[in-house]
Amino acid sequence: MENITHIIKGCIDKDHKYQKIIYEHYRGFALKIVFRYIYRYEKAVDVVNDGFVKLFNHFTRFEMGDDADNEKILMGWLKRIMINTSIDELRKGNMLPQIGGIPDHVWDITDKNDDADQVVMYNDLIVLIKELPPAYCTVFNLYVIDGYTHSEIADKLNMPIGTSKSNLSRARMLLQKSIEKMEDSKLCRI
Amino acid sequence: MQDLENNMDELLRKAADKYQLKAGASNWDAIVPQLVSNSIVPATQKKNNLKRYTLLLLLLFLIAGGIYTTYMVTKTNLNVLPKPSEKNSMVNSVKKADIMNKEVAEVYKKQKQKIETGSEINYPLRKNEGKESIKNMFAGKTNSGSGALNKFKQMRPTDSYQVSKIDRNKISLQEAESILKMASEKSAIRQFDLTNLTVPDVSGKMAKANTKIVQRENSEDSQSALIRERGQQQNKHGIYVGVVAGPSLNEVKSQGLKKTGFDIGIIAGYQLNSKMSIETGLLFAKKYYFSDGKYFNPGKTNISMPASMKVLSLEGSSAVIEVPVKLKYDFAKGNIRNWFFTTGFSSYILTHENNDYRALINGSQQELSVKYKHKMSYFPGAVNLSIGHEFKTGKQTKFRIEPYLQIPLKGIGVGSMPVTTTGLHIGITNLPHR
Repeated sequence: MENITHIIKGCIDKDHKYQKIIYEHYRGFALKIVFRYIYRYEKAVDVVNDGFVKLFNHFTRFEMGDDADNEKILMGWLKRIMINTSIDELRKGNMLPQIGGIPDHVWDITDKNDDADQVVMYNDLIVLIKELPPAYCTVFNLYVIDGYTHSEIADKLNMPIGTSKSNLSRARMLLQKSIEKMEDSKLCRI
Repeated sequence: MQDLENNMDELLRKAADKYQLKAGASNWDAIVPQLVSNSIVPATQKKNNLKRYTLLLLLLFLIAGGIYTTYMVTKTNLNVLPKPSEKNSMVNSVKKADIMNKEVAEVYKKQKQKIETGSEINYPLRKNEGKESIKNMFAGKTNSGSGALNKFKQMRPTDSYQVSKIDRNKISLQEAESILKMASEKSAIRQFDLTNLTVPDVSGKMAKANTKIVQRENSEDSQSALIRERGQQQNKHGIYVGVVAGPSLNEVKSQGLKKTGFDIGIIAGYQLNSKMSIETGLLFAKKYYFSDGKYFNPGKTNISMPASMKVLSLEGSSAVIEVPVKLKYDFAKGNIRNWFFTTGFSSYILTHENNDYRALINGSQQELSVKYKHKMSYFPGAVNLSIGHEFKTGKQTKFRIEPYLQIPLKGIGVGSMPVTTTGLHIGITNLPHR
């Protein structure tokens, strides 16, 4: 990839060439964020695209830093946009739970070495998060994984701070049970 | 319990970081239409725009400088005119010179008659030697003569009369011509006293002095005439130019104002008669407006919008080159102050447009910021109405304050927005030149 500052400047000038570079480079990163919030893979891909449209149409608001920091700033900004777009999408669906499982083809298990098992475990853990009720899942993702505070979560989801805390607590309980269950099933297999 | 929670959180954070997901096929082609293709503004084009604006600004400065220089030059010329005291003394000198000239002319006339008739000359005069004798007599070759002749001799140097009558007439004519030429150059022919020119020279110095005084007097008169004529010209035909600028407020269908825009440019006019003028100009205008989506009508333009996009609202700004053509009527005209109203049309050339849309795209509400770089012309784009006040700030300049209203005849921009503009033009114009 070319110099990130140069690419960012190209995106600020709304040059499709540089926008495409950003899109291709950070698409996977964005999808991994969105997929934690959006249950369906296909829907998550659409949300990622919507997020990139927002990103490129508002690139003039990007505040440039040093060359070394620009990529981090961009990734942080992209992450925030993806989370916001995901929450907008969840709100549109009234935070209703989704049915059906996650198909295997969405996972990328190309690593055939010893870490493959670990990757599978990580994927399973993500599925556990995704299987939480949408409100719990969102609060858990925001608080534990993306580092938002309860106050910020309450603002973002338009709910009282207490609700955010209770949702997190319930999410943790449910996850704990799910993890125990998952471990038990693994032991049974052995 | 807390440790367990922390361990679990840590594990899940790690999982979120390291889980592997297929990114799938690139959907770039699906994104591009939503980015609006003509929004690319290459950096080189931006530099060109900067150059254009700099040139425009430079042109405005040059015009303003030109008007100022003309004004200063005229002011300096007027300062060269004699002061009232100086003028009085000169007028007195001219009067004295006139009296002397008349006196001398009278004596000369009498002497001439006497010489020609030869009856009253005391010394013998041969029949065909009249002219020659006069020459000699005036050259001091005679020892006798009448009192009047002596007086005449005292008053006039001998060398002035070394020429024949015909030569003298020639000189007078040449002088008259040259003075007339000078006078005509200063547009003061009507004020010139031709009687002085027919009088033959009395003395070299006196004649020179008289001529200078008469010239100065004539020059003064010519300046007065010039000023008077200029005064008259204000009531007649003439071209004038000026610079105007000012703030403007733009709105679409009375939906409210957003941000103050501005106009800046040059105007030029031609005074048709004492009351009426025709005016045009070249103005750069920046318009900011806000509108509900229902007034956004992209169908009238060639700009392609995503099919699934429904505009809910927009905040727009347009850079417009405006060419107004107006008829100006001075309904209360004084020497210094003047009230007028104008009416006419404005044609627009839209050069840039920036729209911030709030839109529904594929059912989801999004905010889009789109820059358009296209040129669209609207002839005529709006009806112009204004009422204004002018007052003289110098001999050559007028200051103008002109509130105006532009009622749209055509919508401008991608969405054909009917933008109504109210604003204030503040400017300086020069007085009409023939």
